[in-house]
Amino acid sequence: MTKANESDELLSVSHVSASAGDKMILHDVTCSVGQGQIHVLMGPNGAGKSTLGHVVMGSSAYTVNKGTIVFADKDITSAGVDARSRAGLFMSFQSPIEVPGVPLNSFLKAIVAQHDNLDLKGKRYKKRIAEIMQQLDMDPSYLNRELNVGFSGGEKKKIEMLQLLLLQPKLAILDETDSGLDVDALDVVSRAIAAYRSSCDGALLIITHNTRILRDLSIDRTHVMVNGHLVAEGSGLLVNEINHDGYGRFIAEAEADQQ
Amino acid sequence: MKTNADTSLINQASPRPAMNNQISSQDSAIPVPTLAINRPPAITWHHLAMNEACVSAPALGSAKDAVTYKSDITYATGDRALAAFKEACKSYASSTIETGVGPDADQWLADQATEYVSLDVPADGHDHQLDIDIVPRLDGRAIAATDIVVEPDAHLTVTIRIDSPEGGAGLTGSRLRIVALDRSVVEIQQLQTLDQGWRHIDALGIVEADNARVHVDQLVLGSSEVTMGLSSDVRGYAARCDVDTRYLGQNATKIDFNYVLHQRGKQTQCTLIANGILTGHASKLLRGTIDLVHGCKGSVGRETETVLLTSEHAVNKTIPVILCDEEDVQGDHGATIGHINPAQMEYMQTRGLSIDRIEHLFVRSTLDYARAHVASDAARTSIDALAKRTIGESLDDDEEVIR
Repeated sequence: MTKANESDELLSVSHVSASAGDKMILHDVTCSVGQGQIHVLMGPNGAGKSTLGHVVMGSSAYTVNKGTIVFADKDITSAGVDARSRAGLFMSFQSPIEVPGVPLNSFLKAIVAQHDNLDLKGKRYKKRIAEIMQQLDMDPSYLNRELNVGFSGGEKKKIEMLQLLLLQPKLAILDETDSGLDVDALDVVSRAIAAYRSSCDGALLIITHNTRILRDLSIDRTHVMVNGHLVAEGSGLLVNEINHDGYGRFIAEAEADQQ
Repeated sequence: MKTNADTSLINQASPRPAMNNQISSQDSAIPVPTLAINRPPAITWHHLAMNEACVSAPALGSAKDAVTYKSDITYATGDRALAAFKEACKSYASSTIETGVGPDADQWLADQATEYVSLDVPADGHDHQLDIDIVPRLDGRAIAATDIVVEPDAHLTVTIRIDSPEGGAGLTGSRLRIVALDRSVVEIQQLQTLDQGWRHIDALGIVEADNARVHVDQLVLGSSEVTMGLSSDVRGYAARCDVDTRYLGQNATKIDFNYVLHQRGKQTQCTLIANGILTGHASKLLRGTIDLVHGCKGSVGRETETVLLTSEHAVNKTIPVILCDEEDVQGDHGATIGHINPAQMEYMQTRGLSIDRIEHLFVRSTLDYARAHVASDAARTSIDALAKRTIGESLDDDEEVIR
C-alpha cells in the first residue's frame, strides 16, 4: 500500500468551516488523505461526518465559510460538484437518490463518457460492466431498470459500488455505505472495496459506525468528529478503542474544550 | 416543396370550426384548410384554449410508395377493403367507431389516405402479425388507413413505424380502427421517429367485445407537430384496454393528445399511462378521459402521467378527466409533473455530469428505452437514425461512446 508523505498528499482540508443556511456545522476542520490511503471518519450521530463528505464533494446544500480544500494539487474549494467528480473524487451516498426516467445503463454510459481517465468505449464498456456486475452478484437486468427506482436498500448500495468500480476514482468517500445492510450485502460491499483497492489503489475516506466493513482493511488514519470539530486523530487502533469504549471520552473532551 | 412555415401547425389558442378555409398568415394568396381536432367529451373553460387543437390540412401530393403493409394474413385493399370491413364488423357499425381526433379529422384522414387496407383476423391458433410502415422518402403526404376485425379468440400484433429521412417536409398520418371481438387479444406497437420537417396526425379507434384485450404501446419521439387521438369503446363484459404512451418533445415540437377510454361493459379495466420528456421550447397538451358509462358496474379506470421538463421554456398542459355515471366503479388519476429536482441533479453531478449533460441524459434515456423496447431491426434503425440526428450519438453499445 502506498503511504502518504508530504509530496503525495491527495486531499487536504484546511481550516474549513461550513454551514447549512444559518447553522454552522463544521468548525475549523483540518485533515488530509494521502494517495492510496484508507482513512476512517467516526463520531456520534449528528457530529457532522456526512456534512464533511458532502462539503468535500461540493454539495450546494452547504456553504464553505472559511478554509480551503485542495485535491490532487488543485484548489477545488469553489469548484462545481461535477468538476470534482471528473477530477477523481467520488462519494457513495448513504441514501442513493432515485431518478425515474433514466435507465441504469444509460446513466452508466453517460458518466463513463465524462471521465477522461477511462478507456471504456463500445465493447470494452459492455465487458467491464458485465465483469463488475458478476463481481457484485448483480442481475444484468438491473441495467434496464430506472436508476435506483424500486431497488431495495442493499441493491442501491450495490449500484453505488458498481459506479465506484467503473469510475475508479482517486479518492472515494463512502458515507455510511454499510448502514442498513444485511450480512450478505455487507460482504458484497467489502468485496467491492477490496476490488477497488486492487484495481487502482484508490484512496478511501470511510464514514461509518460499523467496524465490520473495516475488518479486512489496513487503516492508515482514524479521525473522530464531535459537534462539527475534529477532536482526535490516530492510527487504525483508534477504531478498536471506539468500538470498545464508545465516544464518551471524545464527547467529554470536546465539551471541555468548548467551555 | 411545402414546408412547416407555410402550413402553420397546431393552434391550440384559437379553436375554429372544422374545415374552414383559413388564410395562412404566411401566404395571403393560398387558403389553407384547417381541421378542428382532438376535442374531448367534456370540455373545460374556453379561455384556457385547451378544448381542441386546430391543425392545418394542406393539399399535399401523395409521397409515392410511402406506405407499405406486410402480414401473414391476406388483406383487402382499396375499394374492396371498406366493404370487407363492414361485412366483418357484423353487429358493430363501422361508421360509429370513434378515433379520438373527432369526426371531421377522422373523415379527412380517410379521404386523404394514400393506402387503405382492411383485415379480418381469424382465430386459427396462430399469433398473427401486421406491420405497417409509413416511411415517405419524398416530400408530401403519406397516410395509412387501416380497418381490422379480430375474430373471437384471435390474436394479433400490429406494428406501425412512422419514419422519414433527414430533411424534407410533409405530413404523415395513420387512421387505424380495430374491432376486437370476444376474447381476442390485440397488441399495437407504434413508433414515430420523424424528422423536424414532418408533421403527424394519428387516429386510433378501438371497439372491444366481451373479454377482449387490447394493449397500445406508443413511442412518440420525433416530428415538429404531433396530433394524436385515441378512442376506445370498451363495451364488452370484462374487456380490458391499456394504453402506454411515451413521448419526447425537443426543440419547438408541439404534441397534442386526446385519449378517451369509454368503459361501457361491466367489470372492464382501462389504464392510460403517459410518460414524457419535454426539452427546449417543446410543448405538450394531453387530454385524458376515463369515461365510466352508466351500466359499467365493477369497472376500474386509471390514468397516470409523468412529465419531466428539462427546460424553463418547455410547456406542459394536462386535462385529466374522469367522467362517472355509475356506482361501484373506481376511477383514479395520478400525475407527477415537474423539473429535475435539486437532489437528483446533484446526485448525477457527483458522477461528473454537468447540468447540460444531465438534460441530455434524459433525452438519451428516452431513446435508449425506446431502442430496448422495440422488436424489429427496422425500428431500431429508425431510432438510431433519430438519435444521430438529434443528439449526435449512437445508441448501440457496441459502437464507440461519443463525448
